Amino acid sequence: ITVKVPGLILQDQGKSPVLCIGEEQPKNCFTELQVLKGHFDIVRFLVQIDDFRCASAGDDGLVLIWNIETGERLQELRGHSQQITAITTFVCRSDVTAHPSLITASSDRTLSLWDPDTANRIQTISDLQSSVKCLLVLERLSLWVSGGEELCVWNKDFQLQCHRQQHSDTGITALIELPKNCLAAAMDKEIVIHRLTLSTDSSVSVSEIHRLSEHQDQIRALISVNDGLFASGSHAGELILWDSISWTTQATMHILWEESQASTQTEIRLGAQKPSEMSIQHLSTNGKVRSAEAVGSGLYVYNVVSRTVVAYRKAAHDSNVLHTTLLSDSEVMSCSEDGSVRMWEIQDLPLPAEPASAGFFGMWTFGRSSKQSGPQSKKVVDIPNLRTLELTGDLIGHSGAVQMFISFKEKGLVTCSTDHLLILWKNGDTQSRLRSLALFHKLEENGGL
Amino acid sequence: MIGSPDLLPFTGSEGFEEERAKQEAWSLPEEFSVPLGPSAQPWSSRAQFHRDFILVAEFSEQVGPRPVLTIPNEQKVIGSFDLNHFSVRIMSVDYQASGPGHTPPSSPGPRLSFSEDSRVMLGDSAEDAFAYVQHLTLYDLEARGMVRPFCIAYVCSDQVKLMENFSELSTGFSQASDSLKTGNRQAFSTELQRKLQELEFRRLTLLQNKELQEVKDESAEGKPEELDVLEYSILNHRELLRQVTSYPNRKLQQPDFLPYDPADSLTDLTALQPPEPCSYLPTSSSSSSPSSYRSENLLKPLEELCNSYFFSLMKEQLVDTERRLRGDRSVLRTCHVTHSLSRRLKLTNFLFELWSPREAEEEEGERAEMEAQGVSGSKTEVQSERQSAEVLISCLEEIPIKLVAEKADFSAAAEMTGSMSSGDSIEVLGTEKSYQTQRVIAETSTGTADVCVRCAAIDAGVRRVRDYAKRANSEDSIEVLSTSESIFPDDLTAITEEEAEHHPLTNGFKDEEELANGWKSDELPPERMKMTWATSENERDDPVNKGESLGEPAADVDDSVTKRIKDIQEDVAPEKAHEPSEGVDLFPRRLRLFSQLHVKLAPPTPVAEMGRRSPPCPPLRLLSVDEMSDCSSFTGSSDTFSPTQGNHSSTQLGRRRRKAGLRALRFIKHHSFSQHAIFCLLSGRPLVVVGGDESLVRKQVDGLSLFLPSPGSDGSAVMPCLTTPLQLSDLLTWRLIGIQRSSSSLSSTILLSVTRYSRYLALLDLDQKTLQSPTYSGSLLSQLAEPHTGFRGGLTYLLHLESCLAALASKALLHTLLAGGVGTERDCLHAQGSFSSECDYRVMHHLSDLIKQRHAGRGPPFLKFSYCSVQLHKNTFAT
Repeated sequence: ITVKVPGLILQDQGKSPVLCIGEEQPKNCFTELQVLKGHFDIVRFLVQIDDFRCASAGDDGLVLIWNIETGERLQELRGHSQQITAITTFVCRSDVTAHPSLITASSDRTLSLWDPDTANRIQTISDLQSSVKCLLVLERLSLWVSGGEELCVWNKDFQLQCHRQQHSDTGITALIELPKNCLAAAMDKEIVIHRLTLSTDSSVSVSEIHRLSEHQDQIRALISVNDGLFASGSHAGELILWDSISWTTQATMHILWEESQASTQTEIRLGAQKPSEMSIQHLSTNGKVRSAEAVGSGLYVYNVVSRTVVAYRKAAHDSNVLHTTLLSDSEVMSCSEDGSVRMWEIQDLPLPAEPASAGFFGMWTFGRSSKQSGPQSKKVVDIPNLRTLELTGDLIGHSGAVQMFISFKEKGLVTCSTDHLLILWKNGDTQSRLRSLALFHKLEENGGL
Repeated sequence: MIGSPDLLPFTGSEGFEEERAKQEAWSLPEEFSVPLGPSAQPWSSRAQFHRDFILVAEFSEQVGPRPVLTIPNEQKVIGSFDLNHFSVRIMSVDYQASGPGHTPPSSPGPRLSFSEDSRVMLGDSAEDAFAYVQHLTLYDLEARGMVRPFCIAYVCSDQVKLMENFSELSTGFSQASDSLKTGNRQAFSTELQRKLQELEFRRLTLLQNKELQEVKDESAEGKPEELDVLEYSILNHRELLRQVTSYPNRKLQQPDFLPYDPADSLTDLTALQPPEPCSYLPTSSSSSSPSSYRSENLLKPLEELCNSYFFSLMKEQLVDTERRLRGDRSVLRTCHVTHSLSRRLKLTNFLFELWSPREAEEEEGERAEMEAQGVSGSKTEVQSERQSAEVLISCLEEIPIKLVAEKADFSAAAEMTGSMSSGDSIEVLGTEKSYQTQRVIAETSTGTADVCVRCAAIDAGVRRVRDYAKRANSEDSIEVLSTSESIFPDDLTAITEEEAEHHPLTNGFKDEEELANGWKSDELPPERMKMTWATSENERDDPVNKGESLGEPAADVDDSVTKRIKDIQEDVAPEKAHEPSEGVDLFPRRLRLFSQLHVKLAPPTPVAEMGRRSPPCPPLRLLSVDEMSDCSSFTGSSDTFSPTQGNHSSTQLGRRRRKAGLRALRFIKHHSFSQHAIFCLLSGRPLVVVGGDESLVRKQVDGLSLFLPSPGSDGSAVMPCLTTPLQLSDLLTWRLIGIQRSSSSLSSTILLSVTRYSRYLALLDLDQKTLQSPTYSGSLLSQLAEPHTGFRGGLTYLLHLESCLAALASKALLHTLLAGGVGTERDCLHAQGSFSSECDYRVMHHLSDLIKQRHAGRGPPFLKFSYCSVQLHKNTFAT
């Protein structure tokens, strides 16, 4: 379950100035960077292949494999003629080994399976009806699913098992796996639940079994929180927490706008905003308790168990937040269209707690109907453990929007951006030690200086 | 006539050093003593030129020796030095002697001799003018004997400098001479072709006339003869053309030989040169004979004797040589030492620009070569001696420069005697002629000797390298200090075996070619050249030799040669015989020699290094004292070098660095925040210099670039003027960036991009005199950049800076090796007490990172930074 708070408008600097941390960032351990060049268009996707490799893909149709320990480019997967629309790793499990491979989908209406070790294109499907927008690997079933205007189920040998035409303008934009061989597919304002049926002769069929139509606007984000819950966020700033098995609503949240001057109705103010200002851009979860979400340029951390907002920052970035990750229980990282990556720490509020902050958002437990009743939003005040998101560091380097990042823990962080670059951020002290070891190793090999 | 008054005071039976000691002790009256060497003040010189220069002179058959070209061609360099007079002196050496065993050509007709150059050291101690001279001959159809003698001389006021840099001079001059001769052969073949065409045409006309006459049935008795002469002439010219065009074949095996296509030459050069009116009359008996020489015709200037490309190449090579040898001995030697030492510091020498990788490549190749030869330990000595022996042979194979036509012999001989009889007294210590004779005698007299004895003899000779003596001076004397052909008889005995194979010197053209291929002297490593030279030099200084030659001081050339042979006979035998037994006599002398060695040779290793470098091409040369004077003022001298010389990047480096040193010094003296800025450079934080005046920005960047560690092979880490908005990847490439501030929108975009990355940068604003950077506090940089430093000259400061940076680099290496890998390196270093502050630690850390990355790093470059506060520093110094 997530909490949403409307992001502030950028121009509204007077009231809520954008955060600036300054140059002294003792908690920021990223003191070294490498620029990884190779793409010549926007880089949109990053996928971790194993603990030292990652793949990047973007609008130039290229997939590049990088060694994040050294920054070297290992492979270049060429084959797609148009932009990559989805990429995922697919582990081919044999009896002994698990060999990672990559599945990519492109606007040229092809799907490809790649071997990242050799850059070989193992499989290609090129006669698709439409381009694929999302991919989901069902490792348990050795199947994978592609979503677009139609939903297709494939086996590991790239053979089409079954497909189902969707009747929607936008097609499937997101797919998650649910228990009991079910899939949730986000299509426009609806979440469609499909069930896969595996017959005894290993043929697969897919059938639509339910539609969830609680959202008022286009669904932007769909994630699986844990085995029992999944969450979805809409363009209008609604966040709904669903039960994975009964598909019932567990909690609903809607962003309200800060009441600044006159106490006008929320609805009106909402209409006055740019849509993206409140749109839920990205949801992420650490799978246990908390989920982070990016709403407009704000950032919110929600406790799924207590159904409460843990911490929030309504103007975390200068511009829309595109990707967030909960690095640990207390650390959040976000990247934004403003070209920066920011690191946050969830800290206890110094007393007294920020009382006024309660007014920033409202919370309704069930149904939109309650949204009309403004006073209920005061519920937040009751939350005793509201904490703050403190900025602990920022990474400046990209000259365009940072699309995505992947953390390799202590090995570093990879960010990709519209400026065609990837940046590898590392801990300088660690790297220095590693280089020392490398130097000693080399000297030993050469038998001296 | 060829007496040697100079040598008289030293030719006593005892050594020169003792002589001097005695003179000092007894303090002879002024009129009896000969002034020894320069006065106590080492910078004073009697030389009338102000700097060393290169002189190209010609022995013109019309006006005698005359200067043709000087490099550099500036009056302020040459001063009041009499070039004409000096040309007479250096051209008055017997460089054209012919060997006795010269066989007549097998084929009839004229014959071209392709000779190797002769290398001579000459000195005029009266004027403190010493020269290394390389004589060469060029071909000119119109000249007497078709030969024009030239020489290239490096004129220097310091004799020792010449000797120390002999190998470099020899290499440089050989290159230049090769270029010149190649160009000349091409021009000569063109000339021949044109002449042939002309003759053919004439012959055709004659034939037609003859037919006409026959038709008319008139008697024309003179005509057939004329036709014969013409046909003979054609044959001769064809033969010459064949010879000159076939010459490149024997040289092609040399990697640096630049062949030319004789087919092209005609079309090329006829287009270039205006067609001359036909000056030859068919009545002349033979154009190749000296009688065709007509003095009323002015001979072609040097420029026309040589293809223009090769002529400019030759000039460039000479300019290069001159630049590389600029400065006095101490400067050159310091450079050599610095280079040879920094070259060995493979781990750190890339940090500060003390050497160039281009040089390293050359040296790598050379070292590989050396290793391939497998020289090690005691073998080295023997082998090098063997090599030096080979040099000796090559000296013997010089071929006289002379046209060997039937009719030419007489006149050539006449010309030679002419050159001998120039007015000044000349001492010729060794010519090919004399050594051809000597060798035979040495061979016969010693026969085969024990190898060990021979080696010992040579060894002794080699060790006496530095045992040269200051010559006394007399008004009109030229001393031939040494020639490459002068050979110590001891050495000759050592080479009898090898010699036997190569003895038939000039049986025919083919043999000649083979020999030249096999033993070309300038192919040999300079070290060996030096040894030969040193060995031969030794001969003259040998007191025994001198003592004996004293007997007949007024000998003429021929006498002196025969006398010398006698000397050698006497000399060789005792040396051989007494080497083991005559310990009492020999030892004191040797000992004394060794003690001199220690004084004069310090430090011995670098000297050896110097000798080994081939081709010696140190990129960093500092300038001589007289040149330094103009940089001690802050005005900064304007660049006097023409842009065409700018392509010699390696030699330009020294000058550039000197200027940069001055600018760096000014920066330190005039800016209170200089240490902060230098700290940024040394700790890897890119420094951006912004200013309204582009040239000022560039100069500032240039000055600061001295502090930039690991600037890259060609300064690739420096961006003197940024013209595109800054990007992050630029910061990984450039660590020193200049930006011109202007009113254009581009400029503001660039400045905006700079502020974006202000976290990673330091910003030096020249207009506001401010610096935005972290604050430095520590002790590491206090010596490097002391604002109240007493340094005033750019070069002095540069030297100081270089030593500071070298110390820093070695500290960094220590840091790398000590602290690397250990978990708590910082504690470790703090425990050492090496660095008092965090800032110093960061500098060390950065340098250490650079070392690690260079030697063990993979992947793209990285930018390391720190999150620390940035202050705006204002300049508090009044400027």
